[in-house]
Amino acid sequence: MNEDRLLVDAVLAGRAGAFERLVAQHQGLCWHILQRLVRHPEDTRELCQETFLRVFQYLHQYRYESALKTWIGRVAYAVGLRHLEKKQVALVDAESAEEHAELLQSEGDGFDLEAAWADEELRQRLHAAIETLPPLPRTVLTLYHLDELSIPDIAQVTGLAVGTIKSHLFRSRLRLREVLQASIGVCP
Amino acid sequence: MKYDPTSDSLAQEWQAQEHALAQERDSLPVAGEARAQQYRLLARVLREPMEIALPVDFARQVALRALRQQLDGALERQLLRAALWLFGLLALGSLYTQGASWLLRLQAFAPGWSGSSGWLWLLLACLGINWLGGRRHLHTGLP
Repeated sequence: MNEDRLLVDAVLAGRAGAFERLVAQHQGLCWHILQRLVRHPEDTRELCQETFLRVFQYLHQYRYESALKTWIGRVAYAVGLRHLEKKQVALVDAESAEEHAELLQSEGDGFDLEAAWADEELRQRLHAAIETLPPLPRTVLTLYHLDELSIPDIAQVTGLAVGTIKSHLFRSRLRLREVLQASIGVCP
Repeated sequence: MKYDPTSDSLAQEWQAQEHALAQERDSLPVAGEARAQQYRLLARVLREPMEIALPVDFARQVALRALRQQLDGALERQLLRAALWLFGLLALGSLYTQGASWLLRLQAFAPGWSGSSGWLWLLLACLGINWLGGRRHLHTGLP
């Protein structure tokens, strides 16, 4: 948090290179959020730029109530959400309660993690399955697993309740496990 | 399906997911049932870095653009301030040259207003217009 304060103070004081440093530090998170939401690299690039221009414009309103990373994440999420609203893209899809019931009862047969990890085709299939998740669960999964944000931090970024975040994580991972089980079934 | 930690099967599945992620983050040796290993594979795949297709000098470009916008905004504000001062000076000049005739017309319109009370009414009218302008700004959210 102290590093955040130093950096924000430097940007607000107009010190040379400070804002560039801020962008360089947080552009990865911004890309993850926006690319997961909009899934279109060109749009993502433009929205990343829009996000940081907003951050620059409103940085004086940042009150250190959360980490700078979370605050910037929230700006990026709001920018991405508005873009999806304009394009009328649904954030989530409806799932039936019984959809994964069978999988919950199954612990799975023998599984060799290292062999599966070495299977490039299987990994590609899992990445493709992640891409087919709706925008919101896809983003939540990435923030939790790749950016290692805590669930309360993700709740701050997205404005959703902690229980809703857990529900998205749970269902998405279950759905991916289902894809994995099916892939193992078809793989030689 | 709603996340419900009170349901046994759901809670077990959630624990398996979280345990696999924690083990993967700590790079602990692989062990456990098939389900745990499957979730570990998923955690590993989900932690694979995404390709970030931003230009190498993205941070510099955005910083320059932000600075340019700030300078443009500052210039715009200064021009607006200068225009307002000019307008104010012109208004004062008009008041100085035309004020006496305006007061005479005002007195003709309302004979009761004379001398210093006429100027007082004129001042109150100006303040009222100014206040209304301020209220309009508040409603439109303009700075």
